[in-house]
Amino acid sequence: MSVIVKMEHVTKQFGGLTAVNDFCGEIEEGSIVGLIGPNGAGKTTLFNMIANYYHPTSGKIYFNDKDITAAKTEDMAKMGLARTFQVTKPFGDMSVLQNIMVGGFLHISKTKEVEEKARKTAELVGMTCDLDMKAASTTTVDKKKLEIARALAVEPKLILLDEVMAGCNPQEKLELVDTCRKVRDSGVTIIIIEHDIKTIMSLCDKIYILHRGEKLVEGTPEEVANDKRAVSAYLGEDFDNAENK
Amino acid sequence: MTYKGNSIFKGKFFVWLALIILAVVPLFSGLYWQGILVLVCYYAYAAIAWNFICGYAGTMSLGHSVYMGIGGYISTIILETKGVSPWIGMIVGAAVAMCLGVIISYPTFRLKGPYFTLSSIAIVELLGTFISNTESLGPVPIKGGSGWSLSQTGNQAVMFEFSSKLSYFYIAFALMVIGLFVTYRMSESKLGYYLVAIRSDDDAAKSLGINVTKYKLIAMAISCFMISIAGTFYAQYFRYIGPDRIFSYDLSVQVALIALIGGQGTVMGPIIGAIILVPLSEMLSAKFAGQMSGLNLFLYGVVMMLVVYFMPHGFGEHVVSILQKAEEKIFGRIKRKAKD
Amino acid sequence: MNNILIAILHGLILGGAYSLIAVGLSVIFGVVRIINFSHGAMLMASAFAYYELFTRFNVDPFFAMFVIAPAFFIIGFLLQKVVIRPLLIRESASVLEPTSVMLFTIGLDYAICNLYLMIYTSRYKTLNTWSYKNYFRAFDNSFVTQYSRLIAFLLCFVVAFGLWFIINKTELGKRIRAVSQNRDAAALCGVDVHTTYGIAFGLGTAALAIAGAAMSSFYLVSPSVGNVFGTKSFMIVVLGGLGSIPGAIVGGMIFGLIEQVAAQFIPSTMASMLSFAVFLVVLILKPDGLLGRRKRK
Repeated sequence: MSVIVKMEHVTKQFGGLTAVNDFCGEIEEGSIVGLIGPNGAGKTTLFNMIANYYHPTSGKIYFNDKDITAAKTEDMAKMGLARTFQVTKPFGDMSVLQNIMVGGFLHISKTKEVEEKARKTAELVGMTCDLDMKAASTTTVDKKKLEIARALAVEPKLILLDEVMAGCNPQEKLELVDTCRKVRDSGVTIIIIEHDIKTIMSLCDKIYILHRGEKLVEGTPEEVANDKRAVSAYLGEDFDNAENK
Repeated sequence: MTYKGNSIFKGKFFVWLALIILAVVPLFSGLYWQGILVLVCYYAYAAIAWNFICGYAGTMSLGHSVYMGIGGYISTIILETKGVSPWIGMIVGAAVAMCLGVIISYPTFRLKGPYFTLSSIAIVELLGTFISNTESLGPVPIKGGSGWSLSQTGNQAVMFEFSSKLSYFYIAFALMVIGLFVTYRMSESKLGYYLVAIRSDDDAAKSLGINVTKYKLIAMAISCFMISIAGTFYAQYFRYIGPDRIFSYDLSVQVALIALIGGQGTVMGPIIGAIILVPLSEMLSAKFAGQMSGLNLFLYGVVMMLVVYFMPHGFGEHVVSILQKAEEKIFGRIKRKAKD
Repeated sequence: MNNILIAILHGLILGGAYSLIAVGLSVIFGVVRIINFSHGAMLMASAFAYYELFTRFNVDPFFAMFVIAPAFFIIGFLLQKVVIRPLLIRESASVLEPTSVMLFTIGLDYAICNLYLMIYTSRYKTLNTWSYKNYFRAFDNSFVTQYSRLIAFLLCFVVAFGLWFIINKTELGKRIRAVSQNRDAAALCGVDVHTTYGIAFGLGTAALAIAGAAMSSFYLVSPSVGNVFGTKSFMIVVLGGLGSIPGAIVGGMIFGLIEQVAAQFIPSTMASMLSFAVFLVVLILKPDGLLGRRKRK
């Protein structure tokens, strides 16, 4: 399989604070990759740099072998990269369906066709609510699914999911895990930030653990779970309990 | 935005009904009401143009009268100096206003929220002061604060001068319907979806590949083109154009308030706002003619405050639901009987 | 003394008056984070209050302000606490109408200005007070200005220092600063956010009423003075950096200097256009103003 995202010595500083330090990594096409680490470890900053919401202070980022280090946010979608936001940002004045359609207009201009496609996307992510409902008045889990659906509507090759499961109950988390697998099976690579270790261990092909802006460990879920540094820095003793649950 | 339920006041049918009523009423009314209805259509059209960018994309401009002034002045100047028909001048003025709108907006669109609003106020004050104090610009006469009184051409249709108010009404009405149609088409297209997305959250919009500045500029260009035509209409209808009204902050705010009160970012909002506000303020100021010169604008202010409080999405949606309730009361029983 | 130096002195004096009018607006923005578009209308309303007190009871505005300013504090406090608070609460609950407070104050501005226009008509009035009639002279009579202008210049620093002292050196100020930095965190720490907002709003409005005393003594009183000074004060606070008290002074001085010094070389209307142009350029190049702090997300 080919590499879709390659990060070389990526560093980001805000004033005197180093949020991400010398991060290197490769994301393989068609995989689900997890980013975990304590709050403030630099996960979202790394995300924002891949999505070109910020630009790195130094280092290079490649997407499909193309240097995107200094690209504009709005050009990323066209290249095949979509993202969700940690704090969901639905277009509150629009209906759920219209929200998804906004993404769909990137490749198609005919409103009717975009609408049809948006309905299919809604089905793929398992939106259960009324699609004509105002996006602002949907439930948390539907807002999360809406974010995913809207991002998928731009037909990305890679999707960045920022804590999509935060604030959901275990049942809803299972639904979202299922959604992620379906999305991956439709040919989209996923990078996901998540705090729920159990979920991420079961979902991901590869995991990066970040700690204070540095990459601590990378590897398959098994490798990470057996890594002493990972356990002491982040997974902690609770992790064993979580595994045994 | 579709209205549910089995009612005559839903969807396109209601819009057509309202337009046909508005088109027919002046045929049976006196000059006084014809005059008011001309103003209703004129303000509705200006508010439609404002709504096109400001209502949909949420960029609160309080300086849109600048583009109205540019359009009105250009068509007037080339009419009075070169004898060019205002029908052509209207398009020339609109093209210039459109270019100017893009040039001014390109840097100011970077400003967010109230900062953008303040920049738009500064621009209207700047240009208003400039026009008021400029007698001529190179070879082009501007006529400063005194403004232009248009010379009579003898009621020629080709020169945009008519003997009856009714003709002006139908021109304003046609402009309004065109504006309505353009807005409707826009709201159902990519541009409309993108603008509402930008208004809601421009970070999320960018993440979906929307070039925020580009689409705002497109909408701004169309909006400036439309509103500048209102400026030409104003000059031709009143046979006068001067900086203290058409280049004023007051006119900008008035146009914005009509759209906001009717419902910003909705197709029908500006028309509903104009139908409610214009006759009310015209009638009141005619009643207290000369004594209470601030009455109509006082009314705009009070209605604005009430709308912000009680109808944050504008009058529009309430008008429809009120009409539907009335329909249910009057016809509900008859309908049910007919079913049985 | 040569003309330019005299013009600079006049510019500073005028700038002081502008700053005095703008500083209250800046405080309100700095704390409550809303632009009060009815600022000019309130200035005009205070000027009419001084007009009534002077014509009926012959009270000089500079004495009357000790009554009017506290009254305006209460008006500002109530405006925030009773009228604007529900809008702010609704706004923080949904992000749909982030402009509602701004629109409300625009409506309020229109209502107040035109209400006064209906009552007092558009005729200009002047208050023939001692400080209006008498002139301060210096440098062999080459620099002459009304005493009221001089008092306005001095008051600007007194009011700015007073506001700065309240905000930076008192227990109340600590609460005001906490709320302005992070409303939710302050609320969690037990600060009554909306009362604090009300106090900040009241302080800003009271400062405005003091400015009204000065303005009515050196300028005209009419329903349109609100527009004359209101628009300028928005420009001034943005120029200096919204929310910054020293910024309001710097912005006011720049406006005063541009108008007076440039008027030596070009017509005075062109000079006032120049100040709008400077405002636009600064806004586009440095949206946070000259002394504004950059807000981090």
